Amino acid sequence: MTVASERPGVAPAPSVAAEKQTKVITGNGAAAWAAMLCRPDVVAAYPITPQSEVIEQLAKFHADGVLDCEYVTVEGENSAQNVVCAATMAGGRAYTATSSYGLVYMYDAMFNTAGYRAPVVMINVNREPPGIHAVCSGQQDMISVRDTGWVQLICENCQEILDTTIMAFRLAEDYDIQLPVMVNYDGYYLSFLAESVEIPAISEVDDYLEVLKSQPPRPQLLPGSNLGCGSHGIGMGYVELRKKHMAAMERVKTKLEEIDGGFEAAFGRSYGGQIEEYRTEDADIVLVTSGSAVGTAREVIDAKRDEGIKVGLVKLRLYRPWPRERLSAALKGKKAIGVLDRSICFGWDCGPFYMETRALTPEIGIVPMLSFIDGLANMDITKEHIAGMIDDIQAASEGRPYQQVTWLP
Amino acid sequence: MVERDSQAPRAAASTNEAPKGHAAMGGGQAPAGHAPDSRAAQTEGIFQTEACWSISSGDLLCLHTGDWRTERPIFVKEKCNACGFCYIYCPIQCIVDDEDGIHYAVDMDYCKGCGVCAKECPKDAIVMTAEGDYADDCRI
Repeated sequence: MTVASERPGVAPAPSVAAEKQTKVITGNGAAAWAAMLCRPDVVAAYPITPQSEVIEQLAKFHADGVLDCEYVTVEGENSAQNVVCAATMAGGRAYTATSSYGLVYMYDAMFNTAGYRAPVVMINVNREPPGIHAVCSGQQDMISVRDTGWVQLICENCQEILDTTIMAFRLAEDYDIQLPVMVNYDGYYLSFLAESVEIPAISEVDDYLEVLKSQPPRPQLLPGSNLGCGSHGIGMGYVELRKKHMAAMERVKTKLEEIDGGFEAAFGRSYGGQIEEYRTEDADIVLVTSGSAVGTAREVIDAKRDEGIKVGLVKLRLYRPWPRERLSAALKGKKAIGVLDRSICFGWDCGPFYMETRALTPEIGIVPMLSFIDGLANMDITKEHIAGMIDDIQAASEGRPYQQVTWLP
Repeated sequence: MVERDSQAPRAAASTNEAPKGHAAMGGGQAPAGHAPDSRAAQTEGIFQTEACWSISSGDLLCLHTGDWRTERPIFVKEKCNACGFCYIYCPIQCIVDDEDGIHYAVDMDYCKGCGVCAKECPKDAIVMTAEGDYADDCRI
């Protein structure tokens, strides 16, 4: 294994990635391409629907000699997470991908990775978790690992999957951050959606990530050295580490904005950092949502604008840390707010993003807030559904009675 | 029992500033030897990095992981034939050479009192004894 920081100069570019190109690839393909372009030292993953294509593609890259890495074929996701965690502790760059059952099977190991501040990048292709056997899209899996201490990002389309994965390495390994980053995208809707994706040349990605090499080196677990990680943190040691972890999590918000800006300078594309606001500036009402539903929502919002309804959209890109400052600024002064969730929050009888948006009430002010739960288990979030939501939010903004939580369809 | 002089680590942890550098990575200020000092001395400055990195010779061995033991192994030298099974089986490797250079002894700082050594001893030369019997000469 070649450790990133020890590479003699830049490794030669594999011919398939030597030039910038535009290809029609799936969301899973985009995730695999992005990982390959970032030259991970170690890839360890276990196949699971709808993620399998990601690691199949990476295995092919590896077999074809395109990806020079240690490809560890593990017997399950728990091992996968432990392998990539250890690989980053040894100073390497590591990547894994999972979904649903796989994600919850690595639950304990995810705490390790975050607690060790191991900068792993992981793809999570959103799928409903165990209990009701749904081989279907849904964000409940990512919600269920909310408090593991990972940074969580959400993507809207295949291009964003590729770009966000590259940014995820830049973010995770940043000296000020040193946290694992999970890149989420909707299973089925994005994992198998093929669309045109601009793929940068590997040399451009090398340049973009070059800055990571000029940072102070991370400590490394190497054979023969008497260095340990995660062995003990009793009492105040634990408190100290938790406080540092929390502080790093807060720094992610501004760092992501910087990284997004740097990405635009390098590749000409940007995503607004923590959130993207769409037609919110003069909006009276706002719909907050994330992932593949955003594209549909954008279209409906354009149509509603044509009807004279002043509605805007906030696309949530960052789930952990919660982008509360940017969200508060975007939502402050609006007359009513709707939040569309593709998962549920047990115990609060609403959607999780809704619950967290509602927690911003002291900053936003008391206005009608509506929770919409839609798109569970591959139920389509249709234009008609979103039009109905906007009608409900509009009615609430005019002072008419409204239902706080609405399950669709 | 334990003095909680926690001002220093608390002050260090209360900043949201970015990490300063890895130059002083663990170990530097860790207490030397095994003196059972206050808890502050045991934890202060252990984690001078962002993560829980520590130098095993400096930091980790200061933590007396055996101090919650409820039973301790007592070696009966008369029965012992120095076969070394206890040394091999000890899961935390705290069996050490005895001062006589023939038999074995236990490093009580790390022995958790699991009793594996006593179970495996073919000569029944190790007896697990309630820790309470030694309360008066407890080192901590």
